[in-house]
Amino acid sequence: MSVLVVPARGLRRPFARLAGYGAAMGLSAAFLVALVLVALLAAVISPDDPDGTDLSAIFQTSSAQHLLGTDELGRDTLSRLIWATRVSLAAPLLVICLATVLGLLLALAMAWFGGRFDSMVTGALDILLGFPGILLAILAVAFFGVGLTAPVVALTIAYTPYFARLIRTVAKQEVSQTYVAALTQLGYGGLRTSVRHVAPNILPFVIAQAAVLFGYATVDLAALSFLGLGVQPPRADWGSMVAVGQSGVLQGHPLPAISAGVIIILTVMALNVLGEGVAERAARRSR
Amino acid sequence: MWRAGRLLAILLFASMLVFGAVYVAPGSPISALSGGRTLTPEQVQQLTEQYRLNDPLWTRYWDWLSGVLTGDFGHSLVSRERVSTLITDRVGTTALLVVYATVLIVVIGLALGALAALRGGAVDTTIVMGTGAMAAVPSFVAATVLVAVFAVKFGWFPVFGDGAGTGLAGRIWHLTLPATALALAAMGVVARVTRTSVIAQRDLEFVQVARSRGLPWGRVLRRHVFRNALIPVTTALGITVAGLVAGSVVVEQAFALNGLGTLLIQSVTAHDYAVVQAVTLILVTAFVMLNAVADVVNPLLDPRLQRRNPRPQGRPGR
Repeated sequence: MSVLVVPARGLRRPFARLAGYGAAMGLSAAFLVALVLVALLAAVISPDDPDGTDLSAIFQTSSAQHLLGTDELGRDTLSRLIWATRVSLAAPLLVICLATVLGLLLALAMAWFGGRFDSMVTGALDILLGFPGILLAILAVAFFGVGLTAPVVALTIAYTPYFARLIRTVAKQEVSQTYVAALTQLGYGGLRTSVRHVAPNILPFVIAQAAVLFGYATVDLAALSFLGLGVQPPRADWGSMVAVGQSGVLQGHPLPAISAGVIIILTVMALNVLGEGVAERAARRSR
Repeated sequence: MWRAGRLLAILLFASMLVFGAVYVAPGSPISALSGGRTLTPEQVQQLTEQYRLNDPLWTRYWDWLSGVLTGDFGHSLVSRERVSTLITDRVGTTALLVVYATVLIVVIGLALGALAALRGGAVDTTIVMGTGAMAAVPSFVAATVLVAVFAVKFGWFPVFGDGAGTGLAGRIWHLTLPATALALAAMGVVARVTRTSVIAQRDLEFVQVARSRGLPWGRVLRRHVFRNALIPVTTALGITVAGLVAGSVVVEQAFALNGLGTLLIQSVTAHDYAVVQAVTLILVTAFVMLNAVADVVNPLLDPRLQRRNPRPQGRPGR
């Protein structure tokens, strides 16, 4: 049966293929690209000084001068959001890059060697998985001090086992393919085969997982900043902006806190949609 | 047996991590334990004795662990109170918050998921999109919005506090917004899992058979569809409810509830390590136990699962 499957992807017109991505996926990708641009161009597009206080203009509502109003010190909320995008994206990105690479390498080794090594690492990962990531990060802050370094390291340690466990299953299937046996017959070593052939083939799956976990890492790091353990003032990320905005919320001026919260929600939603979409496409293709 | 062993291994590892962190931290253990405060020689002496810094690491770990197992976590460096007293004073609030959130997740999550699966059409689409959005809302953002709308604008609920001394009804009223904030994301996840699971069961042959035999639809749903659909749901519930334990730290802080989470953050900020160690260990234990509940419950629902190994899924625990 599988011989007769028409390679529909190649036959469709480009426009129809674009529609196949789904409007939601396209929107999500566009939103994330826009965020990255905002982070990179913060200095150019920020309408105001993010730290410029103006005590004569606190808690202003939306206006032409301050699109998202001002906070309790009269700082322009939009400018603060724009500048906060940098660290809000960079820190989870670092966590995900590190955890993906470590998890991928671990998974490839487990799939390649199998047997005792595989079951030993699986057992160790299982134990690590028993420790909730955010508690590990709080513990790290307790002993290594506030700031983003300790949480980034802690979350990398907490997320790596997830990647390793998830990727391992797919990598094992891939290693059992005939082309791997063929390469082994040809005398290519395990490292070369794993990194140059197996890894690229499971990459869509890895990217899908990375996108979804990126969202979780964003929330975890923002939560730590919200708790006052992450980014320290006067610097701000979205999480600390929600925390600082609490006083405004109580006085009936929730705009600064809620606009930061909305950006977090949109980012996580976009990453989820993108991750699920990529995973679906990868699953469809491998079928 | 294997599961019990795994559970013990995780808890043992957690206890080593929590205990060992003091000694991995930069600087001498004394400065880490005192949080960089200047100490009189007597205080150094007292700390050295309390933590027995002159003994080998393993004996110290063993003594600490046997203390912990008998409920003795030492004394707080800041308030000088027994850590166990600090904890028993606050554990009720955290437990009530987590239980309340769990009830919300089970009732609303299952209802939304089942409704979407059985109604289909526009209802389904709305619920799928709504729960997708819910799953992306961090608890502290939900807390901010809930306070802004229901406490500040409408004044229906109190802004802060756990309502201690107002009776159970008062406490539940105080905890409504916190529990909702804590439950929201998990509710979305559970609703989606329920929907997928019910859809998978809905069209299976035995359901068709039961219907064609003329059994009432409600009974077919209860006896056949829901019961089978429940397995993935309890697994997801176990994981998400376990996650609530870690998530409660953030929500308690957001609503200034006097629970374990607030105690943890206060102690982290004050470098009160005996308390940090104790609360972390308790929260991890609760997390691990709740994670295991689904493994115990599922074989009761479906005896076929007895011999299968549980597979971890979902997100890194929070």
